[in-house]
Amino acid sequence: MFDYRRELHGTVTILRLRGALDALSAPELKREIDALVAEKRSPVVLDLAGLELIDSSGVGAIVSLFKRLRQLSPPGEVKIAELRGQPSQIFQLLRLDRAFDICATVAEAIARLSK
Amino acid sequence: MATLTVLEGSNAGREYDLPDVCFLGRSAQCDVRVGDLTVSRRHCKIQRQNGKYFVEDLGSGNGTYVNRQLIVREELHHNDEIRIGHSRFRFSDRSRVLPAIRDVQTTSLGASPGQPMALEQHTSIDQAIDTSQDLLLRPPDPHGSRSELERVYRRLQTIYAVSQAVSNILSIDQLFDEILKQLMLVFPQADRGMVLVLDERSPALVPYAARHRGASRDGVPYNPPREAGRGQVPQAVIEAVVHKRKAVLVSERLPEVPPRQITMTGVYQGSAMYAPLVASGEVLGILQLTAGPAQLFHRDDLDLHAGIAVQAGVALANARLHDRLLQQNRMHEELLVAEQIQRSFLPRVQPTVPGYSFYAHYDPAYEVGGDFYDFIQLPDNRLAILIGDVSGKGVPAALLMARMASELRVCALAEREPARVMSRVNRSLIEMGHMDMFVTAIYAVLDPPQRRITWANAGHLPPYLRRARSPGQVEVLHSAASLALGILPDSEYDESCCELDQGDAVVFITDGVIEAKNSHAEEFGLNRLARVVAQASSAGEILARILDQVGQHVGGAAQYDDLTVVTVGYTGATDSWTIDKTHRLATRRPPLR
Repeated sequence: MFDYRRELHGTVTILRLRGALDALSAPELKREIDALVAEKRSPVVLDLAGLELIDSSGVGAIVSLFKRLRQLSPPGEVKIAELRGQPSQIFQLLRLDRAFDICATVAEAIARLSK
Repeated sequence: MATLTVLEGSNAGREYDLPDVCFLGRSAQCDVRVGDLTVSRRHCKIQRQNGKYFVEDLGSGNGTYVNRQLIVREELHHNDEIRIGHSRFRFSDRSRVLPAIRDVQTTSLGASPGQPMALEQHTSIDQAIDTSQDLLLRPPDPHGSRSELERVYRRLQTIYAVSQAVSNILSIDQLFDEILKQLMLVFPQADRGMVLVLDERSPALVPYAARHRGASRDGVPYNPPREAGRGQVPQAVIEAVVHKRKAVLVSERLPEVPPRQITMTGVYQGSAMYAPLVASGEVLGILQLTAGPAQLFHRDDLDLHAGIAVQAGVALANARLHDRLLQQNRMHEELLVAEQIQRSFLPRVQPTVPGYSFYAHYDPAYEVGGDFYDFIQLPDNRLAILIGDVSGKGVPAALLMARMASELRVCALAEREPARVMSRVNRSLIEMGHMDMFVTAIYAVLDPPQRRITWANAGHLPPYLRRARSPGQVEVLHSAASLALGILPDSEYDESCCELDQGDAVVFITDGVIEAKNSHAEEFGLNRLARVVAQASSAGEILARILDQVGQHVGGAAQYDDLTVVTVGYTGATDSWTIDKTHRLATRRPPLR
């Protein structure tokens, strides 16, 4: 099972993911990412508190959000919050901490956004 | 006879006749086999007892749902939806369908102030079929007027023409147009007809085909605007037709309404009939017919209209199934081509470096995979060893892997240091612009006389080193690992190196090895892998043992990820360093599914 919820917090878009983001559910998230990019939503905070499982397709979807927002002008910003469990291990393995700004909480992510 | 129809998942559209006991799951032994990672090997069973059917979860990992409720054991009723993992099924047991409620409700539509009140008649769809059959089968009333007889005859002809069209025409556009034509012929008061189909992914109603009266007896086709679905059908009607599966007749009631208007978006005030397109109990769309100015539809018109809509629904379901089969065939062809391309990029021969041994095994989970490995002969008799995993699966991953492999060959010859090779490959990957793909890889260079391996790791699983001098132990070469390829344009890559002594072996794997699951969804895991590597004594034995142990672990469970292992062993000193490409590699070609 996978679902997501988009919330607006001032100018910050919070995307909360829940369940398993894998080859089967990634296309669903990709449609939402297409929408976020089309609407030039930035900054975006990904709340992964409810994310139980991620595979490479899921990481691919998150990476695509990151890459596509960066290509906007001015470049968009993505922060990741509440990364834990299996997704955290995958992020470490892929060294995604070198690409993403990973924050403990959503509040911290919002505070760390460049003003 | 009860049946199970796949609504979503592998073999969507397929219908299974249910035996007295039926197992659902990933295992090949199941009666209904589901190729879905989130489904357990034996996920649930459906069993018949005293003429009733029960579904029972068999301790599955992700549970069994009936009509969105998590269940342990539950009696099934006609039209219940069963979901396991990402697959959905419809249970049908026509022998136990309850008779339809046979009442005709007359209610007023919720009209807002200032708007004319509308009179609405619902007919439950089951009844609509029954009554239209009655109408046709009932012997004509000998005292009835001749025109009544003609009318019934014309209706019979319509039903016949529609069923002919349904069985002969496969193109759904053509078929809908033919149905609308027949409706225009049989209802002279009709002014406009439209088929609206529920989008398979979103709840939107999309106009598919439309006819207006024009100057012709059977109407003139026109292209309804795509957005016409929005606002075309009043919400209360959608509610009744789509959610309650009723045919609806809406008639204007107040005579003082301003002249009837038909706008391009089709908001109609007057007389209109709506009937659900149903197949296997599921509403697929709406068949809509609106009457011309000063014209009305009557109660028995609605019965015929609803009967035709049922035929149209079955036809739509058939056409969708047909399309899906075509698409599956096309995808299969595409996969075969991609597989050939991909195979051509894997090394066909094993490098021979005196004093060293090389073993590789590559086994894609599907026809094509995202894993790859390569051996590249470099200047100064050095040898590059490459292993990697492209994110995603199927054709796009395979094609990216093929590009990766050729890109790497170019970069390997252009740059000397592994870290610089990685940076260069990373930049080209970024330029290819695959937004949702990335690659994890290790690029290692073996310098045979120095007995040294230098590597850069881009987000890949670390290599393992088994030292001959410490038997039973294994070293994980954690050291520097950098960001996976294809994410940031300016990624930096770190290098690590190790020196090999006689009898030492280095093992490179992809995550398919550690993530190989048994029937309890338990992964092979890093610990098992470390144990297996520690117990083996040579590069060849390591590879053989890994495959053997992974195979034993997985048992009969299907393989869901590509699995690649490359091992390099230093067997002894020698003073001649040439690479001779003559031996075939120990790769196994998996059977095509």
